[in-house]
Amino acid sequence: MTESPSIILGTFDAESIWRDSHLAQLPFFPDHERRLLILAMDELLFSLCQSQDYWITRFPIDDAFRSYLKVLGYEMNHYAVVPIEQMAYHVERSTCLFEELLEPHILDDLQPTMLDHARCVPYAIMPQTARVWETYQLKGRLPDYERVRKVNSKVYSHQLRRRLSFKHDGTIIRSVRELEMVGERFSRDSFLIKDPYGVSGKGNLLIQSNRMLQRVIAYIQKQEQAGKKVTFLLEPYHNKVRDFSCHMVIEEQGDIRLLGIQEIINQQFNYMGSRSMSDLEIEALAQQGYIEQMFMVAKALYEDGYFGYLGIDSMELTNGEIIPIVEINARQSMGLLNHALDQKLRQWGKQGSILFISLGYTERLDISKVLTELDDRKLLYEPDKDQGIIPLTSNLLTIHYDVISQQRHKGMSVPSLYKGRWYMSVVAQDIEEKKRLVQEVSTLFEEWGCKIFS
Amino acid sequence: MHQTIMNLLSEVKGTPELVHQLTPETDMINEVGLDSLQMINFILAVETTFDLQIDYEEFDMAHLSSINQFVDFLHSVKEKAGSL
Repeated sequence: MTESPSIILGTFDAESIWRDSHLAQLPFFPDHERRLLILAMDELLFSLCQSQDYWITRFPIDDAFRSYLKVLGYEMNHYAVVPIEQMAYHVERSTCLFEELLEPHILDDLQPTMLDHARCVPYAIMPQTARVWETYQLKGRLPDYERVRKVNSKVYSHQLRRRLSFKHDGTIIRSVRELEMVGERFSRDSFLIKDPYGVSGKGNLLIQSNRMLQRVIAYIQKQEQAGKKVTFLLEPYHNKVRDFSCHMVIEEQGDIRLLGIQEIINQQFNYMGSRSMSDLEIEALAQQGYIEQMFMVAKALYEDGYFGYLGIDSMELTNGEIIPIVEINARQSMGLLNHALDQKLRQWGKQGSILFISLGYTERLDISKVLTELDDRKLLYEPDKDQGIIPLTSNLLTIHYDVISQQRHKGMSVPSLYKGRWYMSVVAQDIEEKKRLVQEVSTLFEEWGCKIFS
Repeated sequence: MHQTIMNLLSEVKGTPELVHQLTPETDMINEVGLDSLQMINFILAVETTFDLQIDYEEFDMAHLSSINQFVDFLHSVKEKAGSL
């Protein structure tokens, strides 16, 4: 870690900004609540902060939550860009936090003290990141935006697999005609159609029948006829034992450091959580040549102009084979945040794993009430405890309610159920204890009338 | 049709036991909690199973407020297709 303070901030769902708007899309339904929740996900970045750092979030953070973070030793400075009363106005017009930072005077309060010698550690490089760098004269260099975009595409991952002679059984298609031909070949079994910038929960479609393929072809054909560019990656669907991700840092000068490997908990194609692998598990992967392959990937990315945080998603198939590159995330990621939390917990000899509960509610949930109740039920983790729950977010629970409340005066309709997510790190000695803790948190929310979705 | 839809819902959610908790009145968004990915998988499965096409752009989420309502909607799509 560097001695100069870091500014920790970022925009999640970078892929939707990297994605070329001229590309044809897979069938989808707009998800307004998901977009709202993603805007508040920068809260999770506290886990990367050291005491002297500056944590910039889009929305104000609840005082009770910040007090709890202090108990865990997260005593960084915090600054919120959007005043609480402007949340609804903000969510209607903005997607990227860096855009906000280019507004005049937005960081005036902090500039004299914070920005001298500060380096910035963004979640992902966005189109406006370089301008923010120049405007605030931040330390360090940034990789070129277009190169960042390129290496995050699944087209790049596919090409890199071939370049490095890794297993590659996918095909890039660039027209509906090609989709028909390649799809026909793949459709003897289930297969995946992947958007070049698809992310967890969006942009991957499992095709299980020829009829389903024909329906998707018809949908994409309409877009092609309207002038959209067709680019998708088709891959056979593999039966797998587990997903995992390798986390590394590529320094500006090209030095590469392995940070750790995280097991990814997925439900269908949705990310549900992360767990740090043990040294023993990592050693087993190293013996199969996996770590060496990951360094090859990082080196190739550096040669192609990228440096910074890197997460490479991989999987192990039921036949024991390892697919080293499923996709490349040339940015920070949930696995990295879990790694950072575990680094903090290590001082108390503990390890956690990030999970989240997706829930619906009818009345606003108050984060201080949640913290108090968790504490009363002896579920809240504190440094002297053997196990417990570390809450990781506050606004993600309440933003849907808060934004709708501010929109009501404009005649916006009120939903019958508000949606939220409860992110937590579960610190437990074993899997049974972990299950019990998650169940008790779910029960607590259910007692308050919440509907638990996953 | 109701039972097939219930089976498809529990398949898409990846929870076989869900099928026993569903009723014709179940709200597919607020009770089942279909997220956007599950929703598209569900609709694609419905289209494939019942051999019909749903216009995604024009689709009104209110059709998912109960299984009954969704079945009515599917009947109207079939009728429209038949009258073309």
